[in-house]
Order: sequence, then structure tokens, then C-alpha cells
Amino acid sequence: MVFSKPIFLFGFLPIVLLLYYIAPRKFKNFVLLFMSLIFYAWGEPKLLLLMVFTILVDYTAGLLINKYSNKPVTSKMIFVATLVINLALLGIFKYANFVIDSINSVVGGKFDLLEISLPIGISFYTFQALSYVIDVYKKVVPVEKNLLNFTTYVVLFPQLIAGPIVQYKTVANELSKRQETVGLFSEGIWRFAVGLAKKVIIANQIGAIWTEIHSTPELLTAGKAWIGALAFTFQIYFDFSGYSDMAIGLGKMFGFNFLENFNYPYISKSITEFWRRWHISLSTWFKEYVYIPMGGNRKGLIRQIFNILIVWMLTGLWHGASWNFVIWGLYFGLILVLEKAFLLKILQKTHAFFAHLYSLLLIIFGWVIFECGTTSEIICFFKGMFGIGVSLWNEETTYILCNSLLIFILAAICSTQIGKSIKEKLSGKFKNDYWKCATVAILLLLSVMFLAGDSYNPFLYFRF
Amino acid sequence: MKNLKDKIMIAIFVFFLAFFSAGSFLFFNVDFSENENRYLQEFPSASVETIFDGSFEQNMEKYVSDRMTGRETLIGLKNSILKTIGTKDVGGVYFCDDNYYIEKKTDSDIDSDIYRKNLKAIALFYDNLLNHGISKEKLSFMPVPTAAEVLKEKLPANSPAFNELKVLEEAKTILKDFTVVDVTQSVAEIPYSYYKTDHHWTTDSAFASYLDWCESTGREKKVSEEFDIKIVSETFRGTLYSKVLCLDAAYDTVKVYVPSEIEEYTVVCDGKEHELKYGFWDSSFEKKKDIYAGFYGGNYGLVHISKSGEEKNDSVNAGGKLLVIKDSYANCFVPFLYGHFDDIYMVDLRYFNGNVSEFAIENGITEVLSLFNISSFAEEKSIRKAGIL
Repeated sequence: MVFSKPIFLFGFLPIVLLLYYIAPRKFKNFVLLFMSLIFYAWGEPKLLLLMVFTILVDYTAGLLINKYSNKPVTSKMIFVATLVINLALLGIFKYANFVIDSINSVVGGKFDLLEISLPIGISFYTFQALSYVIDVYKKVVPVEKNLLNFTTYVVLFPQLIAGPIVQYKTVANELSKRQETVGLFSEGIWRFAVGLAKKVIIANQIGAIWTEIHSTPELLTAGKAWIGALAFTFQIYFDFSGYSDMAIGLGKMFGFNFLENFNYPYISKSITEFWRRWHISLSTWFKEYVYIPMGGNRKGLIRQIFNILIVWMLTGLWHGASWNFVIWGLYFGLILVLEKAFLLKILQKTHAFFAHLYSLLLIIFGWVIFECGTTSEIICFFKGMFGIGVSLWNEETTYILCNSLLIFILAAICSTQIGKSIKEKLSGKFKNDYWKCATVAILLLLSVMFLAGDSYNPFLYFRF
Repeated sequence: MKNLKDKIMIAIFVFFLAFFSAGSFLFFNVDFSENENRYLQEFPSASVETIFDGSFEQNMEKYVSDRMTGRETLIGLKNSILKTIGTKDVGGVYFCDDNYYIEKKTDSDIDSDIYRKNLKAIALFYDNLLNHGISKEKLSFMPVPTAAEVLKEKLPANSPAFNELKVLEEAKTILKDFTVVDVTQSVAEIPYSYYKTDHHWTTDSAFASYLDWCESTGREKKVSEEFDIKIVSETFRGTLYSKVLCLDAAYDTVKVYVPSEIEEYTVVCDGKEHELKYGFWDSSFEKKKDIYAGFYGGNYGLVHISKSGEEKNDSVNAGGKLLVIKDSYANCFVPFLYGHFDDIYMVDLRYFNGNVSEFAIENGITEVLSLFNISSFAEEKSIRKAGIL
């Protein structure tokens, strides 16, 4: 189930809110757990077992590591075994077919692909649960003895299938004692409404432009390629950050405070800055649990460069089991290395405009690599962007541009300082914040209009 | 009252959730969507099996989505807003001048392979009839132009559309041994040639095309004075409206041309005799949403229209027997052919299960007309049935 569907808004959410708020304190986590399991199992109940297994393994590991904390060798063995189990499950369910496929194409083997489907959110919940095991092992957090609380942490539906990746230590306290308040709830509604609007109004509309351009490569012009690349750049931001906003908002409705996941990434003046502002929970996770344990920047320049490239290759792979994601990860790894070496210093000296332009162009190229499934597609699209083998512009390009200009302007405003400063001005002007109520009402109404077409299908008898 | 604003916020949200989910929790909702011509999803029954294979969940999602309070109004509102802020097309429909809606068809929608195969199937079918002694003047093909071609001045600036003239030329080439009736010019001269909210042409256009057909096949024309033009609806909102549901959509006027001297006809649709006003109009549709379907009451695999009474028995087959291979564009056209023939057979290949060539020979067909909208002809996969000999 996803948040931007009628079934969630007008089926699941009212029920879970109702049950949660009528349940006595000691049953609240149980309500969350139970409803989260339904949320997860919706549509594919079989894969629930895998998640439950992961949870039980990591919960037990936490207990054992704690029990043998004075026996370093034993606790280390348990820790390593747990890591192996978690990563093996992730490897089998997410990467096995990718490995088989790659082997087949490289050495010309004929190994059959496994008949497994990718469990929803496996990358998210595995990383979440691992953050707990690692932190218990490093004695950063105390062990969680309450299975209900631990399970609730992993399966908590707001962040279960698309993040943010909530580290156990950031919500440990709230799991056992938290205070739901009117203020927090209303803040949650604000975040949720904003996120929903970002997703269904902006991301879906602008995404349609990208889909249309991407799906008809034979009609590509250089102009269309740029419009398409920019459309996807906006789509993925509004889609993903919208989803994070909704997750954070829902968390607040149940008394949780998750850390922010996005911070206006497209206003960055360097790629280094971009990655501090984009999918913050993922970059933090990799930094804390991979980069720093590997030695980070403490073992010399060569080792640091190596570490950065490894981390970014893994970051790329985390996004999906396919070579374009590896290329995408390494692409950013390489840029980050170059920035560390000398580019950052130059960027700081140049005019802000050029720093923005530099970052934005590299980000856009990055998204082209990210979204074009195969290397030949990537090359083809880049050729298009630079006008190689296609015409630069045609009537249809003008049409698409005119037709999408408004949504692009809206997207640009909402993803940059302009939107931020409008919000700040409004907050400054109307101290009482009633404008937020009005905005929420409008955003919800607009969103529901865009959602209403979800199952509307007038094509059935169109030809008759 | 520090947190009054927060309470208002919560009230808005609770009202929002309650209001829009009311449609699925209360069971007073409509069950049939006229605009989609389908029944809305029923509340699914849960069983271990349906839950585990995911069908319960799927149907539940559809149920909640289908029953959302004010669903069609919301869609209409959304599209009206999009139109107001200058969006040129929504869901495959162009918003055009004079509040016209025109279907968006681009080059990528037209599969030239299928199109050519369809033309060849017709050619093959006609060849076979040539061998059975029907002359080429009596084997005609009438591709109906699309609104996008005829009304291209009304389309949004720079909007992409497929090259219809090129497609038409191809038809003329492949069917050069037969009679291709190009009605583009005549239809273009009609002031109200297509419905504003439906993909079909108006009866006015059909009449103009009928005159062209008479010319091409060498027949005497009926003139418009021979008809009493009746308006059967002024509130028609057709299939293109159903796609966008805009609140400010136009209402179309549907006309029927009633011959001043009505002859008696028996109309048999898929084996069942159908009582029709003027011999072609099902007036029950005047109260329904899809008024265009009032012509014969919609589409059938086979419609047999025969002159009843003694006249026919006196002079067997004097008027000849016409076979019309067609899509729904023919439904408002065929009534003009009454009087020229004793028997008219309308075959819609999408629903007709039989061998058309055999059918034509067995029934002693003396003339054939294939009438299709050109873009649907290019997409239709059932035409190849005509080529089966």
C-alpha cells in the first residue's frame, strides 16, 4: 500500500487513527504493529514472513550480543553472523538475479533466473534493523528487550516501505514513552498535506511529461530530451521528498519525530552539498555504518578515495539491482572525490550562479543515468540531449514546452529558496498560523481531485 | 486558546478523511458509472484464498477508489482547473477552440503495418467479389476523416497529430481498383461537422458524405428537402466529455433526418427484431447518456434491414442488396441508404463471427460499402477477418 492511493487515505488511515486513539496507552504500540503488518502484507502477504524472520533474528541477536557483552569473541561472532544473515537475505531477494544475469551476459552462461519477487521495502527495513544491531554491538544504544517495541520500530508503517531510514537510536525513547499532542498532530497534518500535494499534484503531472518523452525515443529532439530530463529531475524530488514528508507527518500523528530526509537539495552549490541535502537518512546511514567503520578519511588519501568509491558504488546498488545504478553511484563517487581534491575550492571562489549551474547540470545528468535502464539507453538519451543524431527542436517540442511551462514554474518555486522564502514570509506576516489551516484545506482538496482519477477508466467503451 | 489553530487543522483533516471515505463506508452509492459504461466495484468478499492471491486487496483498492465521494465531480473539477490554467490536453483529449474536444492521435498511435494489412484485407475481399461479378463501382470504401483533420484550425497551436492526408493517400493507392470515396472536403464544408464532446461525426456530415457516395457510385441523390430534420437531443455529452468531465463542457445537438415518405422496414439486430422509430432510431436512448447509440441502439455484429410489404415481393431484388462493413460512424449514415436497396446488411467485424466473403455470396449481395473512421480503421485488429476467403 502506498500513501497516495485512495485505499490508504479513505480506508486504511481513518481506521488506524481511530483504533490508535481509542486504544489505551499500553495497547497503542500493538495497534500500530498490527495495522503496520496489514499495511505491509497488503497485496503480497507471503513476503511478510521474510520480514518477520529478519525481525526475530535481529531481535534475538540484540539480546545475545547484550548477554555476551563481556565476552568480546562470542558477541563478535553473533554480530557477524547476524550481519551475514541480513545481508544474505537482501542479497538473495534483491541481487541474486542481477548477479546471475550479469554472469550470463559476461561469460555467456545459461543459468536460470530465480523465481523470486523483490519484497517491498526490503532495503529500507534491513538497513533499519541493522542500525539497531550495529548500535547495540557498539553499545551506542541499550538492548531492546521488549519484542513488541522492537517489531513496532521495524514495521512502523509510515517509514516502512520508502523511508526515511529511521535509526533505532533516534526513536528508542519514543517507542516506549511518547506524548501525542494536539500540536504535534496538527504539525503532522501540515507535513502530510504538503507531502501528498507534492506527490499527486506535482510529481505525477511532471512525471507524465517524462514518461511521454522517454517512451517515444523515435520522436526525440534535443529540446525534448532536456525537457524530459528536467521533468524527471523534478519528478523524483517531489515524489520522494513528498513521500518522506508524508512519512514524517504520519509519524507525528502517532507521536514520533523522525529526522528530516530532504533539505532543498536542488539549491546546492556543489555535489558534496547536494548529498548532504538529498535522502539524508541514507547518506547518514552509509556514512555511519560503512564509510566511518572502513576508516573514513583517517587512513590516508588513497584509502579515503577507495572508501568513497566503495560507499558510492554500494549506494548506487542500494537503489536497485542493475548496472545503471552502479554507474550512477560511481559517477557521484567520482565527482565527490574530485570535489574533495580541488573542485570545492574552485567552486567556493566562483560566482554562486555558476556553482548552482554546475551542480544542477551534474544532478540532471545523474538522473538520466539513474532512470535510463540500460547503458545503450543512457547513451542514446545523452546523444539526444546534445543534439547528436536528432533534430534540435520541432513543433511538438514547442507544444510540450508551452503545455508544461506552468508545472515547471510551480516545481521550480516549490523546490528552491523561492518557495522557502514565500513560506517564511507568510509565517512572518500571519503570526497566528491560520494561513496554514487554509493552505492544508486547499492542498487536501486539490490532492483528492488528482487522486480521484485513480480508477477512472472511460476507455472501456471508447471505440464503440 | 493557544492551540485553536491546531484544533482547526485537526478538524479539517478529520472532516476530509470522513467526507471522502463516506462513499465507501456507506452503501448508498451508485453502482453504475454511465461515463465509463461499467459497473463500479462491489465490496469484495474476503477469504483466505482471495487474501493470499492478492485479489481481495486489489478489488478492495478498486472499491475504495470507485466509491470515493464525488469522484466524477472531483475529476471534472481537476480537469476544469487544468484547462483554466492553460493545459492543452488531458487524458488524450485536446481542449480546442469553441469548447470543442478533439481526440489526440499522434503518429505513434497509428500503426502503419496494421493499417496496410487492413486495407489489403478489404482489397482481397473486394477482389473476390469482383470475381463473382460485382463491378468496381459497386465496391466502395469510405474513410471518414477525424475531427482533428477537419477541424485542425481549432486545435491548440503546434499540437501534434498524425498525418491523415498521407494515410488517406495510401488507402487510395491500395484500393485503386475500387471506389474510394474521399469525403474530407464535403465534411469540412459542414458548419457543425463533429460533436463537440463526442468522437463521432454529426448527421449533417453523414448526409454530405452520402451525397459524395451517390456521386461516386453513380446513384441518384436524395435532396435534403426530402427529409424532415428532427432534433432528438440538445443535451448530448459524448465519449470525449466522459474522458475529461469538465464542468463547462458543451452540450451537443443530435439530429435525425426523417424521410418525408417513410417506407416500412424490418430491422433485425443479431437475430432479434428491433422496433425502431423511423426505421433506425431507438428513442429510448434519448433519456440515456450515450445518445449517439440511439442509431439502431448501438453496435451489433449483424444488422439486417429489409423493406417490408408487398413492394419487395413484387420485384425480387430489384433494389439490390447492400453489405456495409463498418464501425459506429456508419450508424448515422446508413439511414440515408434506405430506399436505394431492398436489403441492407450491416456487419461490424468486431462482433461478427463468420466468414464475410461467404456471407456476401450466400446472401446474394450486389453492392458493398466499407465505412470506417480512418484512425480507428488504422487501429482495428478485426478487419483482417474480411480478408479470410
